[in-house]
Amino acid sequence: MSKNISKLSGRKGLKDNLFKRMINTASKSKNGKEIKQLAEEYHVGMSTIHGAESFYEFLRPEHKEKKHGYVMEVHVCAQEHKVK
Amino acid sequence: MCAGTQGKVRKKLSEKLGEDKIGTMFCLGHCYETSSFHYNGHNYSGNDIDQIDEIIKGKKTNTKNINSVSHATKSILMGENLSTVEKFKDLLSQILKKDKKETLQTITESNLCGRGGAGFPTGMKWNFCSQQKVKKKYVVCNADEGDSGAFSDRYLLEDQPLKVLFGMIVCGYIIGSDEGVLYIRGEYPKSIEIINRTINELKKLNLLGKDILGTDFSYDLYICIGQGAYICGEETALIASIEGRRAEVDVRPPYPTVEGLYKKPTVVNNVETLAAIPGILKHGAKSFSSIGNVKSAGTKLVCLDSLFKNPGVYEMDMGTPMKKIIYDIGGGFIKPVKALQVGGPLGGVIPIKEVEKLNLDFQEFAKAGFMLGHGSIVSIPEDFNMIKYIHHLFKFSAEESCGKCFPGRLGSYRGKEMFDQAINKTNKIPIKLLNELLITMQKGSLCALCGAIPLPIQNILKYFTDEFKTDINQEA
Repeated sequence: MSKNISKLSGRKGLKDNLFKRMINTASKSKNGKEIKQLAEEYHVGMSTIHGAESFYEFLRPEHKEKKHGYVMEVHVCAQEHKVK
Repeated sequence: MCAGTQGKVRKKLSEKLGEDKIGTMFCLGHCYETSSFHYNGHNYSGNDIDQIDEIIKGKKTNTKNINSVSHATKSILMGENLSTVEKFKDLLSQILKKDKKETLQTITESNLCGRGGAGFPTGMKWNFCSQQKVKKKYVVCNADEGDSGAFSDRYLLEDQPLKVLFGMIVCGYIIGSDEGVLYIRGEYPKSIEIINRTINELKKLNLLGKDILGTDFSYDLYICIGQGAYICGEETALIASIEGRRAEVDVRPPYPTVEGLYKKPTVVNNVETLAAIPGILKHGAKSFSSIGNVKSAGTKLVCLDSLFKNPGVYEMDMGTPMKKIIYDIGGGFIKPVKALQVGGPLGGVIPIKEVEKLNLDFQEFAKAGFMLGHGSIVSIPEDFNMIKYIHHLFKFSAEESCGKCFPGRLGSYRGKEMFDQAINKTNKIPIKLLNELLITMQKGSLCALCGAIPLPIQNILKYFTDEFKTDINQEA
């Protein structure tokens, strides 16, 4: 499955990179229309685009729409624990 | 919450923006001065939070540059090599006139090994890829530096971009590729901006693009911006991400040199590995291989965090005593420290007395039961509770696991639950079960994230169990 998606994505390659397009779509999209178009353009299923989008922190709607300032994530940095 | 400062940062941001407007991001690579936050596309740290009103109004603060010094016998990564496009052009025109095999031989003989943590010989990797009889090949620069305590890639991308791009172009030339991509994490906006600007500059000067310097070699570079997934530091997950897939780890073999990006032969190299190429080609293989030993040759960037008196990024000869790095270069600590975690969250947790016996050497670290990895150093203060530290490590892998393999996905959560209960005092740590879990994760996980997270936990259990022996259930 992923081999097929890789090859389909590779037809447009780096010049019109699918991941970059997903990032642009996620920042604009208010409905599923753009995702459907993107899926059709790259000949992949809508679920592929939705599945990938949901994986990445910055592509999630709650990250894009609600937040303005960001502090470092608690679980990532061991240094958070240094001073009690 | 860098060095315990994040509470203050969050409070101030909440007051100005509203609690519901504050999100979280992964490590911003400001571990040398802490108090970091991201606002409106820019990163800030240190005392910047005190100027939050001005920042909201659009003022750019002067965030301190990374303290960077080379202590190497011969500087490869920080020196003046390739500090201007003229020097870049001179060296590139020399390389393009040489036989590719000769250049590859130099890289191989330098004994340069991957600096991302895995330590695979770079010349061998390039050779494997160059042997593939396929028309289309790719070069990928892994700039998804997410390890806590690491900011050496950020330093190279922002202060030495020509070195990194030169390494990619030479790799493309040798393996027979005409396109490359830098996967830079979204948490590094300045790095993205600088690399983008440098690529455009090189294109204008015909040092990138079609028929470079009048030769028949054409090469283009692209940037792919990471979207907040730590797992993308793993090469197969990174490739999946560029392709627009979920960043899940793939089973190897086939390795990327055979079947990589878009299923074409691909070299994936770390930023520091690529940045070492121009120095090696300029000074010769021997100038690099004569430092350190065969498997740990050359110079290496080491990052010291904010608990050191002299935090920053330093270029060191491989084989340098850690004692020298900690006390002479780092100046010791600003408060008592009992252990160092070297090589990110997946690296070993080393008691101070043990680390003083080691040299900066991949094999020596591995032999002693630790891991040098990317060379970042996070200090663990004397008064810090190690149960909480283990909990932090399990929580990290539970949050960041791609979820593809069972040992990683389930093991991380079960481990976190054990330590949730230990911290809440609802249950003691079932030590036999914990040890079985760690071995299962180590042996059964698909990649180094969940496969290596047991290492620091085992180190803590070996060296610091006395701190929490009353919290352990020896029977379960």
